[in-house]
Amino acid sequence: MSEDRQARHPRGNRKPRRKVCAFCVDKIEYIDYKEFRDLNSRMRRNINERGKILPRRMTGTCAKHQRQLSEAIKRARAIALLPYSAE
Amino acid sequence: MNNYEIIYIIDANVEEGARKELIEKVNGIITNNNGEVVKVEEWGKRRLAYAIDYKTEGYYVYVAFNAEADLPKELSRNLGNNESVIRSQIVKLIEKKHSVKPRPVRAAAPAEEAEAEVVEETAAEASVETVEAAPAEA
Ligand SMILES: [Zn+2]
Repeated sequence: MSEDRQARHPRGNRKPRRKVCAFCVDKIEYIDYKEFRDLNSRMRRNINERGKILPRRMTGTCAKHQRQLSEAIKRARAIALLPYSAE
Repeated sequence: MNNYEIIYIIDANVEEGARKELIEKVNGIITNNNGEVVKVEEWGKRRLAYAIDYKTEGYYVYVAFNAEADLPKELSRNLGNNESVIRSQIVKLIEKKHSVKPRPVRAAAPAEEAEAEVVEETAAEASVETVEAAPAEA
């Protein structure tokens, strides 16, 4: 399977897709927007340097956790823990 | 009674005395309306992720509390009218009824006994959720 994938992308400059959801692995039941207050929080891996939410296809997050995550990010933005978009 | 949490940002220019007074006032609004303050965390002065009213810094306060359903509206209205408060957000905490559970794994192995096969057939007619429980009866 993984060989096929590599064959289709011979340049290999793409980041390999993480196959599992990091939140599922850690058995996270509630994604807490407050965790964004830590500038080094692992949660910040889910946003790019401009503050945009990264898509599931890049992070490997499952649909359920992605919904929770986007809600958490929006709450964190509302209280200025995260930017709406960096200029 | 519901569980809530609020984060409010006090203007960084507000002096310590007035700030402490304000925090007490907020806690008072909760307790005076049959609410209960569960936890107060002063996160302190932080840089805002974006400027609010040209301010780049604010003093963050987090409060977890229990209250009747009409209090959050009253509280956010009150803080909205307070010039020392740059912003506030109240979130209702909902207790999850079902936790994250692993997906039921369908047994791929063929049944060893005839009896077991019968169980599988009846289970197939029932909903997916009952399939998990079926082997326990065998
Ligand atoms: Zn997940």
